[in-house]
Amino acid sequence: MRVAQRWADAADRRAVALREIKSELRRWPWLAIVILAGFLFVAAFPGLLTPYDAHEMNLTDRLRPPLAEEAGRLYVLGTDTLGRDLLTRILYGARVSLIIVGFGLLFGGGIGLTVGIVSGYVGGKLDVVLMRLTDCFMALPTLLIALVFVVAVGPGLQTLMLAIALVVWSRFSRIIRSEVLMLKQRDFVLQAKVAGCSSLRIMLVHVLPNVLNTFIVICSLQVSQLILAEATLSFLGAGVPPPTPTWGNMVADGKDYITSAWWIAVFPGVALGLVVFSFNTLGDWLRDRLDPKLRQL
Amino acid sequence: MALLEVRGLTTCFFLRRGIVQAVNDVSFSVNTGETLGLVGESGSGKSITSLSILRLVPAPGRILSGTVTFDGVDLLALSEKEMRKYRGCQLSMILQDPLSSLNPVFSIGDQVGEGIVIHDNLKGNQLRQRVVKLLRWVGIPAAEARVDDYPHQFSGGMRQRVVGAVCLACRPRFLIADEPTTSLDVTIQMQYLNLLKDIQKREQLAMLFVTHDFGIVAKMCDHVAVMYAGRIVERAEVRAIFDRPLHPYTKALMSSVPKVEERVERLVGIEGQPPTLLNLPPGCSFLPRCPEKTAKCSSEEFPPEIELAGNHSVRCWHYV
Repeated sequence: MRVAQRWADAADRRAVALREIKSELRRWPWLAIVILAGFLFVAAFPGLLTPYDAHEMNLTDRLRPPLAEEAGRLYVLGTDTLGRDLLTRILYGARVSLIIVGFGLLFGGGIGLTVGIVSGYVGGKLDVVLMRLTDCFMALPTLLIALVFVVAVGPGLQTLMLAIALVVWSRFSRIIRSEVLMLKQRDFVLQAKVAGCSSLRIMLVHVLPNVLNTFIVICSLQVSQLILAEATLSFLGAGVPPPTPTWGNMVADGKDYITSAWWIAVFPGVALGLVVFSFNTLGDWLRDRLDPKLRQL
Repeated sequence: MALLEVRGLTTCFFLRRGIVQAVNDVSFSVNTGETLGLVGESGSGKSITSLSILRLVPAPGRILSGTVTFDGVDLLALSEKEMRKYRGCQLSMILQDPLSSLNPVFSIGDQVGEGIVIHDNLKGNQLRQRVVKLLRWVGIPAAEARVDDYPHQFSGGMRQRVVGAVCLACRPRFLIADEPTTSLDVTIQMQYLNLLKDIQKREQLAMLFVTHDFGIVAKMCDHVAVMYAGRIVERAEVRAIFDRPLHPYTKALMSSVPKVEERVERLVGIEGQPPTLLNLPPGCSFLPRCPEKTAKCSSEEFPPEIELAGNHSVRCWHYV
């Protein structure tokens, strides 16, 4: 009897847990998640989805419209001015976007996180200096300094990543600092001091994990900006130099043919729009879930 | 010789509006196995005194003068690095609020173990066993199963026990308890105080017990120091304070505590407000509120410390 009761209880509990999981899952932004999963997959394995090479030119097949078939080759999204398959180039372009975003966040976010924590925790003169530096970078128009930097150093993937890191860190440091200012007033920081922790240990072990959720939220909100920054720089010719396909320089290539061959500019643009939209949606959702007090971001 | 001896400790906060003398020429000593109660209103400098001993006065505060001698070593003369070896290891402190003195992102096992990692450099299974032992020691039921739980999964009383384990992890010889039970309800307070008392007896801990509750003083302390406006105005053994309070402030404090055996319609409060410590004028700081003031009290100087029989000392013009 008691065994049966226990079994029934367990089953009940399992049913409740299952229902909770279901209602939780229903609130997830699935459209964005699916698009981003697709984006990540494509960026990781572009070769699996297309038989063609992103650099292979077929000058006889220039400017073919979507779904054109030429000599046994199917151009699903058409071809560009040099007869390269547009779909293939979009798939490979995703990889560039992902690399830029990844390294931009790694460097930029890393610098911003460090500056924010040190500035907030140490305080005093160092705080003043670091925050004025942050102000400087926030006051400068993002694209302009990135552009100046790229032009001065010379275009290339590394330069672009550095330029983007240079621009993006200030967005992190300010918000992280304010979070740290709040955290360091909490008793657990004092308790850590009482236990004999050094300042470095308190920053790394006690403060850092407590600002990570804010960090993740800022990351997710910055991703779309980074993708757009990369696209804009590439569009202006200061990004990754051709023939490497990026969404930005593909749109730039297509803009001269927009009346005769609209697909060259439109499809990379659509890809860009979808990914940016998805990152924004995911970012908003993450912010609401992880850190509701950041709603004004 | 006393384990901890504080002489002439003065801690000031330098604000733009002036100087706040939070702790002013405070002296006391605590012996091994004994408890000194530090009593006073909010803002009388109790907490800053305890933080000064650990040299953790928050900016813009600074220890101006005095000595804190622990086991023959002047703590105020140590470098920050040497001082860190004393904190947590030899001297420890339980803070007021168990809710915020635990880090929400770590399991309690990690937090209890942190001091052990820093000071004794234990790892892995050894560390875990010691942590479990500590948790059992402070009375966490099913300690084995609960080491990996997070602070929010514990009740207030249990959390304060965990804080106790954190503070006692490295077997300090001197423990400061800064109103450790104010945020607990009365029955839990009792259990917690009993626990502290037990641990003290077993470990021969010297304790500085900061509180404003005379009931707790009677239960926990051997000696009492009454603080007012940053100064210790009366010092005595616990029996003497209850039997024969000398300073008018102590008397007033006593009479504002309800007694079980007498039925009182209204509790007597102390008239007026404690003085702001910003640019405190010289002279007796209790004077404006003192019910027993006389002509000789309006001296420009603060009354000197008068030693009376039975280790009882007081700073009041009446006894000069």
